[in-house]
Amino acid sequence: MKKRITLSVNGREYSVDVDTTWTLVEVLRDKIGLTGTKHGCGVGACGSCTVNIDGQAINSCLMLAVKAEGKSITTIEGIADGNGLHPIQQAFADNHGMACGYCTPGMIMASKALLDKKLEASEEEIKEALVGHICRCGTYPNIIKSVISAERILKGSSVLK
Amino acid sequence: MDYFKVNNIEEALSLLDAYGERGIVIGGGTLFVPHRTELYSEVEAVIDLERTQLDYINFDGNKLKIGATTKLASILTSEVICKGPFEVIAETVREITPPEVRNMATVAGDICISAEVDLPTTLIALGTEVVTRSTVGSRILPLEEFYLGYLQNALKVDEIVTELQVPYPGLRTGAAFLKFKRISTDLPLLNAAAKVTLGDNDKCIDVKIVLGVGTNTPIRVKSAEELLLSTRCDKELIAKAANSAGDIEYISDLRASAGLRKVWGKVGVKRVLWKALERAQYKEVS
Repeated sequence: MKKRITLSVNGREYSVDVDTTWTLVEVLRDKIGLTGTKHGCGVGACGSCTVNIDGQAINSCLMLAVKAEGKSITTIEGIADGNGLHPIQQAFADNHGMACGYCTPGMIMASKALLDKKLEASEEEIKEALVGHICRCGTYPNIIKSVISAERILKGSSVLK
Repeated sequence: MDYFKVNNIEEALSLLDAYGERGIVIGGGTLFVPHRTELYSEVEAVIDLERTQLDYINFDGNKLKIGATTKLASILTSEVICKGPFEVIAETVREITPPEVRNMATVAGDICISAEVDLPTTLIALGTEVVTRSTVGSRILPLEEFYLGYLQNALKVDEIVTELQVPYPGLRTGAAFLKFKRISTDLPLLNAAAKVTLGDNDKCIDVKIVLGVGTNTPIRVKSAEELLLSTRCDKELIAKAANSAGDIEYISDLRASAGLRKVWGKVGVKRVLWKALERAQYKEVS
């Protein structure tokens, strides 16, 4: 069944016609055109479709788009402030936290949800937050390094502020 | 497929009444969404309980009450569960990964799936009861009697789970949970939980041992329980009790063969019993 819904993505409202069976990742990519979020396994086992909803990381392949109405959705496109990369993105670039890059948006969104809540996250906690994310290039050590480095940058910038 | 985000349980019940078998109630939807075409192709209406205000965790000193739509992630931030007599529930939820799923999936959803899940194993060991509602009234049934088969539970077509009630485990009681899985984010190939209460002279006065996923429904390992009741549990006795978990007829599936489950079943029972016993001994007051 078709339904018109309004989704709040990265602070902007999008009014879209969707089928009630479509998932959030399908609507984000195919209807809204935000293709930064990647579609992977479709069953919540790979983490590549991770977006943040009301500050929490979720798998957008496991959520019907109609369920996401009324929630505040943040995707990888919405985390930088317009003047360059977000510190987590920068840290991934600086530390080679990616090879092909397919898992990177999901990795960054899950890291952001963690670091927004807890800037003192330990390496163990970072690994726990990223447990549902698969990187088939096997860049895991650099990914962890990137998040630790981002944590340091963010801590620094929050002190400056 | 129609989709309804209802505002209260009454609205959900009347929709369920109208749609019957063609309606499905969801909490987080993390099972329904990926399997909507293969398992639920006949569903015509999705009834989403998200806004029904059943998201709560209360402890009145006697019973821990968890609302149906409480997110699994909320268990891990609940002080009453994370520290104290219900800690084993938090330990179980921590094993349900990834965290992205815990942020969506609900407690009642996990209970109702009736397949390869972790929470029921622990909650049966704790003697949990399920509160359900329908348009004609409500009923309370033990979680132990809730499972009828693989993907089959005791809910009637017009019923919705509204709450779980976990009794206060009492003094000198310890509980433990253990999960066996292939990789860190997999569903369990087997899990085990135990609750032990000690009386005078450290004699075991109450014990519940549960194995999940070894068979089509979570089961009590009664033969092991009988061996331990009214005795002072020692290493030898626990080993004997654990061995009796080898008599269960385990299932084979893509995750593990019956033979492997039999090995893990015995190991699981042994380890959870040890841990529960250790905890009971150190919990003079809790």
